[in-house]
Amino acid sequence: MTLRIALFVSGIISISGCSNIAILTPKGTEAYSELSLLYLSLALMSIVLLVVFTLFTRFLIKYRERPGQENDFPTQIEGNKKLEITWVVVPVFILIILAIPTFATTYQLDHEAESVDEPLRINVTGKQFRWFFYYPEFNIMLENEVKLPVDRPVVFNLHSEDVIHSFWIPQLAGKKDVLPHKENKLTITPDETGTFDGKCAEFCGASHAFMTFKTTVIEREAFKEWTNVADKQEE
Amino acid sequence: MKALLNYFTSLPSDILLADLSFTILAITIAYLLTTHSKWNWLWSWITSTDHKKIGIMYLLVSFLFFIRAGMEALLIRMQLAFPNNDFWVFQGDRFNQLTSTHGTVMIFLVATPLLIGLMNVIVPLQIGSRDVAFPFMNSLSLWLFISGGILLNVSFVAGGSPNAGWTSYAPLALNDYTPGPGNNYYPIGLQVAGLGTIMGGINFIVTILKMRAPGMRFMRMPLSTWAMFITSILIVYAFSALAVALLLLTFERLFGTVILSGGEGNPIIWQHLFWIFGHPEVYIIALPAFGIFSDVISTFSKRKLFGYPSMVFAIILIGFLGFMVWVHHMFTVGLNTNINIFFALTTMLIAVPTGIKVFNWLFTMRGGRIRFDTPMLYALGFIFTFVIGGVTGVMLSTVPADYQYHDSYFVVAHLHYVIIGATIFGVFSGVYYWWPKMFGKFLNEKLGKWNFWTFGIGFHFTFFPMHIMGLMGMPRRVFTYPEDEGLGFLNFISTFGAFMMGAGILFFIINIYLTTRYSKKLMLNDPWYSRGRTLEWTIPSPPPAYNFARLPEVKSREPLWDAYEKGYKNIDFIGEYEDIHMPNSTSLPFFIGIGFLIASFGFVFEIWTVAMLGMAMVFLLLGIRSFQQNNGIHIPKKTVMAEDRRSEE
Ligand code: HEM
Ligand SMILES: [Cu+2]
Ligand SMILES: [Cu+2]
Repeated sequence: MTLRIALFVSGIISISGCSNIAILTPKGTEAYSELSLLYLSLALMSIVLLVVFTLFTRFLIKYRERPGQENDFPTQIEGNKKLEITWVVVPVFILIILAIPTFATTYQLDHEAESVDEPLRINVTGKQFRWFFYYPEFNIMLENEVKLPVDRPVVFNLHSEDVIHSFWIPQLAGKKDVLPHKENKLTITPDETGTFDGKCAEFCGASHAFMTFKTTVIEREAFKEWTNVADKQEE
Repeated sequence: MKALLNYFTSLPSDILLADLSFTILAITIAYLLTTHSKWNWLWSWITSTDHKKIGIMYLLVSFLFFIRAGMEALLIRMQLAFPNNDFWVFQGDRFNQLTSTHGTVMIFLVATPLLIGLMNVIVPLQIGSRDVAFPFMNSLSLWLFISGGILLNVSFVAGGSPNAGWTSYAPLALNDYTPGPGNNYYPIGLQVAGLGTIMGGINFIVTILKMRAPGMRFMRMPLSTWAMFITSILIVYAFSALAVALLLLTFERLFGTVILSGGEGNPIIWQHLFWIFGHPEVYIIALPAFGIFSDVISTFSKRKLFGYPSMVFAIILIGFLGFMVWVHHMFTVGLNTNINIFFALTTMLIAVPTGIKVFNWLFTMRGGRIRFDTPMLYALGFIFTFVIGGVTGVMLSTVPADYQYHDSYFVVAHLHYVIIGATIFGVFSGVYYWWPKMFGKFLNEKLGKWNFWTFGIGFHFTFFPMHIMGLMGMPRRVFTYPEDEGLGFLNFISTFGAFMMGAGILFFIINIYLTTRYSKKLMLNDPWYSRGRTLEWTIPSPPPAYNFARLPEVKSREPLWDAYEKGYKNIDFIGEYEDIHMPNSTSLPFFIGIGFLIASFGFVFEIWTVAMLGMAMVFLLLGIRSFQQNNGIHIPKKTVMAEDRRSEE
């Protein structure tokens, strides 16, 4: 059974091509630390899967009713204290191993906006079914696309003009909801240049599927040049 | 005439088709009822207060809703089979209506009432009782559920379905963004159905507390009964929270309060209230299934349930912790970090009692004589599937990683692994297991196996790829996706799997048809090869209206099995035969349901006279009920004795 699953998983992953799986190929610091938790939890949970499926298969094969046993009365037992304690204590240990890095990373990600120096600030407005990006520093406004310099932390100030949306660039960082009554902050630090898909993850109406944007991460020099040019064009 | 024709030709083809098939179905059923002169028979079911009949009606009606929501699932999957697809009319808003009603119907009108149906049939039999505590209220629960269900289901052809997702988040679900009757159906339909569910919860709490047979102590109750007891408590608390949420939403939509809106109000209030209901709901539909599996695994392994006290303890703990995890649906809302961490911790903790249960099930099988009949196959399929769903659940509880998974197809995969894995497999297992008890006939084993394997394998084909689609960045509730993200192949596999599941359901329907039509009556108390352990297998199949001719005396946890081990054929019944007092049948609940239906249409379309009329009808009927002299009927001792003799032969 386990083997079958493993084959199935690896088969599907190889068919779809690992390079396609956005979350497994992070290009930003935040997405990377989120991915390491995915791997940690997957590894811990594989132990659980392995144990359960091994016992499952073994018991099914060993204790199936064979011809001639129809009228047996197998011995009846109430339980076994030692075993029962084992499967309380061991999972608790596994969960502790998982909980500690989870909590640390949560703190770190949630408080990044205050701790990074000189972040690039971008005000994001979600509005059915478009994204607006405003760079206060340069007085630049973009629609459905955003340009970022590599290796510099960016703080997005998220705000919605209508319903709830959710701001998500899978390869750069996990999502954050975009609320109409309250501003949320999301910090992203791109590690590599490239173009990444951005989407709305919270269901927001008829064209929710089309509420996407393009994220371009470019070299810092190029970014500086772009802001100069774009700035002048505005005037 | 011309205007009418114009109206019909202007309808979209899917609605026209739905109208047409509904009309044909209604006419066919009416015709069959008339030619077989079965109207009286139908009326005797509608007015029945017998818990077994009510349970069977719950099962039947929710199964019809299951087919409807299942067809919606197939339409969803057809639209998503290829990138940039344009299937029929299901793009944009029409697609959103599909997902919204698929989710709403599946949770509220399929998963919950299917289990309540089984609960109705089984609990009184397992505790050695002749009916539930409040038979009238039981029938009212049923008719409120059907009434709310009809309302949600006709929305599709009358004014448009809800289209703000099954979670109906504000402000999207408010008038500013989704005007019209569509999203009125959601809070009003669910309010009516939910009222029935709360009554059901109260009914079963009292039944299990007060109506157990002599000697049936708490720690002697079968696991199904235990699970359904805890579930009933969860229902009372969780559905009350939902009722409040729905009331706020109704007021906001109909009367313009500003509690949930984005400006002066706070839309997060809705999310909290909804999930304070929503997470316990997950356990409301999982715990009874756990109970069923405990009974089934123990029966088909011929073994005592391993670690009974810890199984009971685990259910209670899960029920309790279930109320303390709701924020895990809201990690990305931007709440305070400490809040997220607290709820991540409680969520992880719930894995511990769940683990206890899984290992206890495994060790129940150890040392047994395992038979692989269909109920057991579903139980084994459950262990396999649910463990995978549980594992992804723990993965989801790691907050930072959830920032990635949340609202993606990873979650769609997870939720179907747990809900179908536990609830739907559980209901199939329970239905195959207790079918002979309900109808006195076996379902066919061969067709049962076809049913299980196509449904089960199809299930994994449908939902396993969704994990990966989520990791590839596919958000949930999108009606299409671009070509270049490489999502096409997995989505196609998933659609293929969905059709396989559909085939599985067809086998089930064929099975019911053939066995009902052609197979012989069993005339056995314990048809599962004398492996039964608990009280429901000590009485005839199907049981007489009063279930137990004489009350059983319970001296242990598994009275029937203990009798078998001592070489007896059945347990001892104590006491003398006597006249048995049973409740009257009554048509009031049915008409109260109709009153609510009329009132609800009034509220949905904001036609106040109709709403008042409906409510007046409800209160009038309640008044009549209050002044009714309701003495019930007495089944004379002689009849009881004669029937009991006959069944023993
Ligand atoms: C019969 C096979 C089923 C198939 C093929 C299926 C398919 C789907 C799909 C593709 C979605 C995602 C829609 C989207 O996000 O765009 C979905 C959502 C959902 N399904 Fe199912 N489903 C099935 C059965 C069930 C069952 C049995 C239940 C529960 C008892 C259920 C409950 C839900 C819920 C609650 C949602 C979320 C709806 C929402 O996002 O508003 N489904 N289903
Ligand atoms: Cu959206
Ligand atoms: Cu939950």
